Amino acid sequence: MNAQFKKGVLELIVLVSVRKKDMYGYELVEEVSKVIDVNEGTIYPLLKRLTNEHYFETYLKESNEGPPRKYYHITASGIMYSEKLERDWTEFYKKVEDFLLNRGDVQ
Amino acid sequence: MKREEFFNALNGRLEMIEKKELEDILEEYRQHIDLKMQSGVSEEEAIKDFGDVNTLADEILESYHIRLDYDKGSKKIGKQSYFKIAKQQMGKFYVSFLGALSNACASVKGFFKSISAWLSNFKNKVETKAKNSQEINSDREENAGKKEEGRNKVKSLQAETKCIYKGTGRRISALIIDLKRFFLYLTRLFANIFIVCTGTFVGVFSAIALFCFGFLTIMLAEGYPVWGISIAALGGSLSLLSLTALIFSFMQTDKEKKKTAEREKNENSEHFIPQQQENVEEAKKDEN
Repeated sequence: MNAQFKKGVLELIVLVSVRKKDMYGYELVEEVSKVIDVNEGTIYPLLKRLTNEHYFETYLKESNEGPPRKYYHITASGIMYSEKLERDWTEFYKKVEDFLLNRGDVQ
Repeated sequence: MKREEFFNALNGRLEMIEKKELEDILEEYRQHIDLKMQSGVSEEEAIKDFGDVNTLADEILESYHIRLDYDKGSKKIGKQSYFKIAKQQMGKFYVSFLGALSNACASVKGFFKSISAWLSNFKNKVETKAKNSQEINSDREENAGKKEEGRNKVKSLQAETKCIYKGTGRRISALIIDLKRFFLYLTRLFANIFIVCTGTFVGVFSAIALFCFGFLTIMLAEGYPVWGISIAALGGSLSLLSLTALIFSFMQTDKEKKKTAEREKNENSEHFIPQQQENVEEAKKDEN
């Protein structure tokens, strides 16, 4: 699978996943891995960046299985940003699809 | 790579991050590794999945640059540059505003200059006319040729009109110059009055603040708990005093008035009658 494609949609998938439900890091990595296969190293810096830009908020929640976990929660501006990304994605995907369908017979 | 090696490497690259933040980040990675190991993966494997430590550290550092724009592809701007950009924009606006202002002043000056130039033109024509009128009279008597007569007729017409305009032209130019000076004097006077009024107004407040500060100091000495108010009174009186000084510094005193008046005389020197040449020379000396 092309790495550039994956890199492009990673942010969108992360945002939409957290929008569905508050998650902690490991849980999110598993969620995203269902869609695309990514290097775990890239997810944590991405989460940090999205938090610094106030698209995410974090809070600690006690867990039965060990130390308290840091949960990520999407903010209002995060929701707006994710919707914009979704629009961008749909537009982009449609254009590429149109191009591929209308190129005529494969030579 | 073992756990300690991984965390040491990260620590080394991320020294500049605040301690608490750094602890936070590392704790999250620790938890991730533990959870991964719970699902059966070995420690080495889990750490391998993070990829290259240096790339990871780079990406973490990148995330501390705050982006101001929504677009993912656009250039990242740090917090500092935001202020720099704001300053730049204000600077540009200020410069263009000054430019527009100076253009306006220059155009007004130019307008006045053109009027006085037009009038001095008349003055010159009139002077030459005075010479010509005599010649014309003698020419008429002497020359019998038609060509010369025709030429003289034209000259005489011009001379006549110039005569009429000369007197009025001189009077008008003098009037306009006087008017201009009068207007400038008026504006300066009004500005000074306004400045003095504001200055006195603010000065009164500063005097009140100073008085309050003195009163509060006495109360302090008596043992009342008025530390905060007295410090505020001190600060208020100091700032109001300096504001008064600033306002009064805007006033144009007589010396400055004279200088600006002389400078203007210098500019209009071309249109001056020769008698006033010495004033112009004086002004030039002053400027030098």
